[in-house]
Formats: sequence, structure tokens, C-alpha cells
Amino acid sequence: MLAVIHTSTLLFWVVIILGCISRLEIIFILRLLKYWKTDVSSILDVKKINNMKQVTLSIIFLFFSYWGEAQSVLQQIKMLDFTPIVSYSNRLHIPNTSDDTLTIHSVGFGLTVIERSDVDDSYFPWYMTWEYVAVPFVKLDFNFAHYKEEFNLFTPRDGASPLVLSAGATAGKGAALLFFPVGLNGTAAVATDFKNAYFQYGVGYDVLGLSIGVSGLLNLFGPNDSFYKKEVALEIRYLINWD
Amino acid sequence: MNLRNLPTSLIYSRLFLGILIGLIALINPVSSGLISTILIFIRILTDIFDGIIARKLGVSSEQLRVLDSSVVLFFWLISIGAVFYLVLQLFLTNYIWILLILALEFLAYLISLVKFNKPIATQTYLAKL
Repeated sequence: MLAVIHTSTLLFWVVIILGCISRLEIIFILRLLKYWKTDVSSILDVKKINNMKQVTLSIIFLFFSYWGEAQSVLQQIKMLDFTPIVSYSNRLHIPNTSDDTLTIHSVGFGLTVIERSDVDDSYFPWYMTWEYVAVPFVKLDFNFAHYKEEFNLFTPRDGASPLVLSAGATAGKGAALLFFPVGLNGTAAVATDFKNAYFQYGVGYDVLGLSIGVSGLLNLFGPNDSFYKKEVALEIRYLINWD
Repeated sequence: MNLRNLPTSLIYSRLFLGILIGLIALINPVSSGLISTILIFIRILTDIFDGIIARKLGVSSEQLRVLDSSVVLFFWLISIGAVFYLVLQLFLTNYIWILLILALEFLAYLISLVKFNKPIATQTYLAKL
């Protein structure tokens, strides 16, 4: 107002800008406040008044700040070639306390991004080839034991987690000559049963993403003799519609 | 005079100061610039000290703050009227910016009335400037 009366250009603009900013601040305060309140010194007090956690405001801020980038990332994600993975594995477990054995079954479901794939069937049935690279994949395996006598596993008290989460890469390559397919795949991943961390390995005979092979877990930070992990499993796996 | 009434008196003094600015603009337009500047300066001082005194005396209340905000609005509306009367050309040259501030002020009041059914009494530091 001083500026307006004295017609000072600089002060005039200071007053106008401050006036706009201060009114916008009040508007934002009113929009953010959950209930009517007097004596709100600045917009920074709103979170205290609303009992909002700082992290909530930060998320809102980040959401609006990086909305453009998020859209771009979402666009890229939409362009990825997602393929589901299903697997079943079976292993014999020899408990330390007993000479008896029990069978552990694992059923896994996951998702992978096919990075590169090719099926050349132009000479089918005389000759065809396939190859794929799936990275990354994320898979969750659920383990359950076939109980024998008194021995139980994956119960809340025995310390063995029935869930194993893994993430890694798998690739396969093969060829078929007169309906006789020969293919190979390999898998490398890190896994956790939410108690320990493991390196997961796997090798299999591969026909167009359908694999029969072996897989196992190596404890990365501790002894590898806990429960089912030391034994190698027989695994059947399929990458659905990967081509 | 009861000291506990001092913050309320300071708030009402701004009502008086606003009316005075309007009257001076009408009666003596030539020297009203300097007098208005002094009156606005006094108004700022009363705005700062009414809150401090109210808190010291323990009479700070929601009612007082609502009254303060209403008087501030009245004061600025009178002052804008005075400017409009005194320097019409300046007003006309920059009417977009002045109307922008008025529109934002109106919007803020509208939001407060619609959302809370009560007037604004935020007392932000920026608005005091």
C-alpha cells in the first residue's frame, strides 16, 4: 500500500508480489486445514495442526514434483514384455535329528520381463530354434512338506519359513531337429526365506520355455544345513507365452 | 482503563485509522500521501503489538483474532478506496494486478466460508507484511 501511494515502481511490485504470495498461502492453508483454526503463522504449521506426519507431506510433494517422470516411467513399464512364470519343485529332506527323509514340495508363481526372445520356425518341422533372456524375474515359492511320522516342517515353531522370494535372471536356448528338441537354460538369482539370504541356481533341459532341471539354494551368510535348503530340488518350470 | 481491554482497543484503533485515511483522502488530497503513510505505519505497529500484549495479558482468544482479521480487511478496503480516489491513473494502469490481489483475497474468504462456514483468521506472517 505504501508503494501504491508513493507510486514507487520497485515497492509497488514488491507489494503486489507479496500480496499475491500471501493470499495464495492463505488459500493453500485453508485448503489443507482439516478444521477451522485461527493463528496459523504459515503453511508450515498446517501439518502440525492436522497432525499429519511429515512423510505424508513429503510423499505428496514428491508425487507432484515427479509426476512427469512417473508418467514416463509408467509408459516405459507398459512397453515391457511381461511373462508369468510357474514352477513346481520337489526335494528330499534329511533332517539332522533323524535318519528318516521327507519330501518337500514347492509351488512358485512369478513374473518376468522378457528382455530378448526369438523363435525361428520357418523350417518347421525340419528345423527350428528358440532363445530367450528373461531379466529380471521375481518369484514367490510356497513350500509344504509331506509329513512322515512325527516329523513336521513349516509350522510356526520350527523356524523354517514356508515362503521363499527370489529375484534374478534366467535364459534359455535350444533347437529342434525333426521334432527332437535339445535346449538348455540357466538361472541365477538372489533369494530369501525372510530369515536368511541365498544364492539360487538352476540348470534345466529347455523346450520353448518349458524346463525340467535342478535348482538349489546356497546360504550367503551362514551354514547351509538348515532345513530344506541344502538339498538340490528337481524343478519343472514354464515361462508362459514368452514368445 | 482496564489493561485487559488494550488489545481490543488496538484492534478497533485500526478501524478508526482506516476511516481517517479515507476522510483525509477526501478532504485534503494534496498532503494525504504523507499522512496516510504515517497512519499505515501506526496501523502496522498496532497490528504487531495487539497480539503480543494479548498473549502477555492472557486474553488472546479466537474471537479476538477473528475481530482482528475483519478489521484488517476493512482497513485495506478503505485504503484501496483512498488510492483509487487519489491516484486513479495508477489504479487504472495496474488494475490487473490490484484486481488479482482482490480476487485472491475474495477467493480465500469464499473458501473459508464454504469449507468452514467461518471467516479467515489465519494471521500469517506474510499477510502482515
